[in-house]
Amino acid sequence: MSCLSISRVSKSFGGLRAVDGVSVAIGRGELIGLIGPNGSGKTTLLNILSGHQPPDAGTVLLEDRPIQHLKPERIAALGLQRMFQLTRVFRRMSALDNLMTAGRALGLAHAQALARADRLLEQLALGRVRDLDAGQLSGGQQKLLEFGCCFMVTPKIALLDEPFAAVHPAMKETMARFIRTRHAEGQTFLIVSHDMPAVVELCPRTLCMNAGALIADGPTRAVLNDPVVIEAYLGGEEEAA
Amino acid sequence: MQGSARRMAVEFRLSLALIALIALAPIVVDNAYWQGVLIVSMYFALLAAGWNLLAGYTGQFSMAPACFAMIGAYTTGLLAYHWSIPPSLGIPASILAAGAIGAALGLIVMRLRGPYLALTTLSFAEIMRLVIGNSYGFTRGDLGLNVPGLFESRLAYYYVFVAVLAAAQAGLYLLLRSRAGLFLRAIRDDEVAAASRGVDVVFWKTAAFTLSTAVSGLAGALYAHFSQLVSPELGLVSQTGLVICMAVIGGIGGLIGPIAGALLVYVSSEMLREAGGIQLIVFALLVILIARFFREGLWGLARRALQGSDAA
Repeated sequence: MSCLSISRVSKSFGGLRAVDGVSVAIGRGELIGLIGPNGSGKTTLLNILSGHQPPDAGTVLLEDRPIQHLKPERIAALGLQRMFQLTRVFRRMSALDNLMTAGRALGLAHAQALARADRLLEQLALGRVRDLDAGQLSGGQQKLLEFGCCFMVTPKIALLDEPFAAVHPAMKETMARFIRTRHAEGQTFLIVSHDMPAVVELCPRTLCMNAGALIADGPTRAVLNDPVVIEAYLGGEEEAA
Repeated sequence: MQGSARRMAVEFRLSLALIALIALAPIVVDNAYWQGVLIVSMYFALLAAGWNLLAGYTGQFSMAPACFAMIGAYTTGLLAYHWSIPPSLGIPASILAAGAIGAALGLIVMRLRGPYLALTTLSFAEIMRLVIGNSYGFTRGDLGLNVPGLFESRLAYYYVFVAVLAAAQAGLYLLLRSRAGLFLRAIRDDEVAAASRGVDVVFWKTAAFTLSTAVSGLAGALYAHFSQLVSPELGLVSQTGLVICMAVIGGIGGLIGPIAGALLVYVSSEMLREAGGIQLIVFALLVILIARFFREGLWGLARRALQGSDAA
């Protein structure tokens, strides 16, 4: 049984086919990279998986349960957690309260949520800003905080949209270390990223999208050397040249 | 205790201190007229506190607090007028009626956002006011409805309002410290992120709306028995505007701002009464200035000044 099974999912906006018949199976404990040029449909696919946009067609199964028409809060409660490309934290709430909200919403008791939040704050080097409003944190700290919110209750799968974008190298390493540790413990990840070195280092398997379609799926180095993928990334420039 | 909880606890204690000062005011204010002014201020403080739960803590801008006060006032008034139901049953019925209508409306409007929510609640408020005003056979329309009093003594009313205001503040404080408080503040900051973390956004917004309308219903019912006359004017949009002015001037998103704002605005409005309509101009200017330059209201300014003097 797959952790997440995506079957012939499509989504159009007017005349633009943003996601075009994508089918992927993600096994339990896999750490998968999702790459593709800007506008290739990666974020739209994540929005469909997390319930923020309904698909026009296709099914999404989270451990055999159809979730494609469920609301985001229901999908989160079922164990799919996501991080957004543009950081979304509760800016007028403390870093601790951001984490507490995630824990309490997913059914943790107060004491249990507090203990987990404090542990995550330490693991993510955010202990010093525990009681500061999230809006007062740096961009990188906000990314780390949103990242931490995904792990207040161990998710079945974590969808991370550009977790390393505009993040200080030290914070990026903190996040990468956390991902490696959790992956070793069996956590499933799908990471959207333009940071190729990070994808190569972290992800054994990579998917590539272009113009809404899945154009490659396989071991990361093989995908990055695939001529179709290279064409997708460089084609615009070649044409321009 | 964590930062936001500490801040909330300080604000709660200060708001209780302010209510204690109001409770002591009759020692100095022995004039029945000014005691009445303070009672009406407390009525508005209840409305502003209920509206603040929705706008300040949940980020939902309702234009109907005065309408739900009117619903509460007419519920107990009509029960007494037509069926001689005593206030001891009429007031709880007012809370239930305002809360139930609020829940039904909330289920529809809490799926809307921003200006759509404000416009829908405004339309509802005006429709309710017109329906009550035009149902002469049942409500006596614009003539108003006589409502039995609760006490002979004005001071008895005064302390009932003080007790209810203190209880409402305690209830709000406990709510905001609970997980519901976390969810409401999360929704205020970012509905999409709140849903992604597992918060049922529509449910909690509807719950906040229901509670806010129930508080307005209670305030309206008490006001009806105090003034012994209710009319559709209680639900005028200008009354809602006054409630919003009070919360904005005092400071929304905190426990003390709406109470301080209600006292400040209503008492000074009475002081400026002899100057004609000048009070409306003064408050409108204050709201514009505060909304533009001091989003946290006068309480926010005072808090910053206190923090500044601590740092120095």
